[in-house]
Amino acid sequence: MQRQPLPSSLQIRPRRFALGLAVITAAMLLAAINYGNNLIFLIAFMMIALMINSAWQGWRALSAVTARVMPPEMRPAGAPGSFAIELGTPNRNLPPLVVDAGTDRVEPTSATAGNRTTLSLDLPGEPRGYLPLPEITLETPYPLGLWRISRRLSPGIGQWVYPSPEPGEQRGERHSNEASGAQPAMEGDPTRLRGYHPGDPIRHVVFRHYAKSGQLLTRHPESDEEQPDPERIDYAAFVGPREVRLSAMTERLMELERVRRPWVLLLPGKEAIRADSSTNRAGRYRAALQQLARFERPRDAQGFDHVPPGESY
Amino acid sequence: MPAPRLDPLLWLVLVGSVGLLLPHLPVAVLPIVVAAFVWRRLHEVAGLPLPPRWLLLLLAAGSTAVVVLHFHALWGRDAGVALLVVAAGLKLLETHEVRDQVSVLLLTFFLLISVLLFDQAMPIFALVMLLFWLLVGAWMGIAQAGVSTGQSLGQRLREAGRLLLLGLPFALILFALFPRPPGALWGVQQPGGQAQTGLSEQMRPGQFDELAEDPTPAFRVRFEDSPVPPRERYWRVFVMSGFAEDDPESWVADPATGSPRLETLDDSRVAYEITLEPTASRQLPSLAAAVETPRRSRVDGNLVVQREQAVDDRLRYSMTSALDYRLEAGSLPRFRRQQYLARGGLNPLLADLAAEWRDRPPAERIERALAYFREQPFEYSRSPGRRGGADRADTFLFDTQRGYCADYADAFVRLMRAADVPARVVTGYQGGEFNGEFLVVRQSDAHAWAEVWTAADGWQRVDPTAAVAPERIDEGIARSTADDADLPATVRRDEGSFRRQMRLLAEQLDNRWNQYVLGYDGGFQQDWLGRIGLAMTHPVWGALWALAIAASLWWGLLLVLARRERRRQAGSEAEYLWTRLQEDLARLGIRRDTSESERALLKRAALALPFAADDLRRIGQLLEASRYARSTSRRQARLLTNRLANVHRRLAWRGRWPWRRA
Repeated sequence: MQRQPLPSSLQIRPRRFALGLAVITAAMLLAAINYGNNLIFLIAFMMIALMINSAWQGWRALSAVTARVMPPEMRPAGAPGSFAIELGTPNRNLPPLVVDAGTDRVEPTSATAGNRTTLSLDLPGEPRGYLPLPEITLETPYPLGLWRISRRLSPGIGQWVYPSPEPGEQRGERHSNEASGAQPAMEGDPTRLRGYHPGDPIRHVVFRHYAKSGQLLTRHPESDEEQPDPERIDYAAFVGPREVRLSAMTERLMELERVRRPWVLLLPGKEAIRADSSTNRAGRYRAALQQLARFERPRDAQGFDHVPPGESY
Repeated sequence: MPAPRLDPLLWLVLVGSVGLLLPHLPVAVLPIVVAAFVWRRLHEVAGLPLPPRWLLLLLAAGSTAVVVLHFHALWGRDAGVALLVVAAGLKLLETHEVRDQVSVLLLTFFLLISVLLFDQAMPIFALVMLLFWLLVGAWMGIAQAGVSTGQSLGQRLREAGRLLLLGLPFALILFALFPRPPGALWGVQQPGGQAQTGLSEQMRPGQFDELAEDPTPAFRVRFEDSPVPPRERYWRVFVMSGFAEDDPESWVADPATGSPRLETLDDSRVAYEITLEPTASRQLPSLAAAVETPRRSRVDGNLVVQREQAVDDRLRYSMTSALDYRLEAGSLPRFRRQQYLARGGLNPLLADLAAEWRDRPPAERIERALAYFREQPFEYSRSPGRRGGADRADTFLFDTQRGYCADYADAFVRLMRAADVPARVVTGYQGGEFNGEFLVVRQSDAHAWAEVWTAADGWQRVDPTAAVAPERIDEGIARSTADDADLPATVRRDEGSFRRQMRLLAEQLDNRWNQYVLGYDGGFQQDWLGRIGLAMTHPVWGALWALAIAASLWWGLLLVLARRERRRQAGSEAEYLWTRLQEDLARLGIRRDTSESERALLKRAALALPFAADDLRRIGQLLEASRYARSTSRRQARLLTNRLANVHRRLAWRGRWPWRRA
């Protein structure tokens, strides 16, 4: 959740109705002068005061609104999502608001009787990456609908869009240990030693053996005996263009996660991520999806991924 | 599918405005408007379909025809307002969407304003303002119709009231300062219609009896210096020397003549200001001999102040009169003399009586006539039991001997003419009653007296009523008539009457309203602005000046209110000042990073702003102490507030005006 109030910019522009009313007020002033009617003068001046005062009141009401954006759930490329925004005011009721998240969806506030409300805003399908949330515009017709008082908020947080999971083709048979250089399974090996895999707990590393031979080995306790070796989801093992491979890897990753089998994600130039029963599986899975989402995406100054124009998911 | 319901507040204002305009609408228009209202309501409640477009067009054409037939015009206040009411009614029948309600809102707004074209009395204005408040409430509902606000009517009305109240200072400042150019812009004067029934250009028997029961103020007078005594308070309006063609018992006002041949005594001059209620005539009441008259008016040969245009609206004017004067002394042209000696009717007894005095000097003839009134058992009465006929004066003088001021004036002038003394009747008002600083002259103070001409003194006022009932002149009508029980308490000047006291109070309020609100004109404005050295001769400069002053004062007020609210939201003065200081630093380019502590920010600021380095560091320490220390003293809190205020004062302007940063 965003803790600080969101950076924003406020704009006040007259609506057509306000311009029309200004013309009518001018006509009233002329009539008051012509008829020497002081009461019409007074009403005309009250109209001017109302117009200016409504701009002031609207500005005041909108600038008092605080917004907090809840980060959206991770979602596959191309699938629509949603995120929540919590709107509140410190000491007063929320003014009537129209919240526009830049899409064609405009959400009116559902309940403004209190001073806090949470809205869900839709997000369109996007290409993969860590993408900025769209700018949010809060607009209020409060109090008289004469002014277009709007406030643009930059959420400053992003949305994770991982590659769309699609089945893909792999080169040859799957080899569980081949690429990692790990040793074959240790059937009947009383030492229960095997080659180190990234992600192995540090306490299992046999440093004495490393000191003697320079080779990293890990000792596997009895409980690991039934656990199968992790399946490698290797970028190099898939065929096709990059996005196809990433989609296939995502599909495989999700499949393995669904059946709770251990896996290791291998992307060129990236540290391998491994998940088995002994690790923080949910965290690893999330990290793997994030790595797949951002793979070979250049970043902008704000740390978001740059999606080349025209790229589709 | 029924159209969305009209906002209930809009309904209320619509019905209220049309209700206030009802007396000014042609009767034929009313069924159309009422039918439109009922139809719309049935549509909303029972789903009755709205009329088709062709029927609406037909109704619009029919209504327009009715208005044209009634007013013989489509232009002007009365016809325009009638059309507006019809348009509002028909618009209700073609309002299908919420957005359409904006048109109804604007029409209702115009209807409300147009009420003030007909009546500007304080209670009416209070009603209009009440409806205006409801209309702003309706406006809020319509403006926010697309958004679910969850606001009840009460909340909307509270918000609307707050909006109006906050705007009131601005409106009042503009009201006071905005220039009031004299005259109409496009030559359309507000039509009459508010004129009271009062004196007329013809004096008929019995006319004054009716006026005696009318406590309505005819005009109010404010004397520049000390007020003139009651015996001098003869307010001249019409001078009558001829008889009506069809009724020799009725006098008619002389047409306006040339300038008067007048000699006045400067010492006897009195200046006064009159606020005259609408009369629909061109004559302005004045004391004795008016010597200085308001703009667009002049004094005619009979000392009647004639205005260029009829007084259709309340009018305030200043005048100076000479109480001692001689009008047309020396000689009177022959044709005029004959005019003032003409006798109407057949009054042989009166002629016989006057013939006895003919050989005496004119002054003695006048005295004889007055003595006759004093010595005979005449009675001053509002119900004299008059008889018709051409010898009405004979009946009054020798039979009934009961009459009202007009009877005495009439008989006296006839007597004088029969005695060969030129004479004429003057009608106007006599007396008045002080209510606050103003002398209120009511319709019940209407009076008729006589003027006789002698070569030595010219025209001089003679009031035969004073000979019969001197208390009428000194104390007003109620104390002088025998049959005053049925007069209104205000006229009777019954000091113990609650109704009279209330009436006087209401009149005082009404007068202040008239003087300071309705009568606030260019002269009044320049007068008080001149006193404080702000008088503007050119209206455009005046308008700009008014806007500038109103905007700056209002802006100042809003700024104060905004700061007060920020202080309230901050929770403490120190927190408020700390927020302001951070804004000052941001303006100077020292922005706080999201991960930066307060102390780190202040350290950075101290390096960038060496002239305030000590204060900034100290503020850092004090802030930390106030935030994290187990307990802080009041002295420390005060120190922090003072330091913050001091540094904020020093940095605020530097941030706003770059050239001061150096």
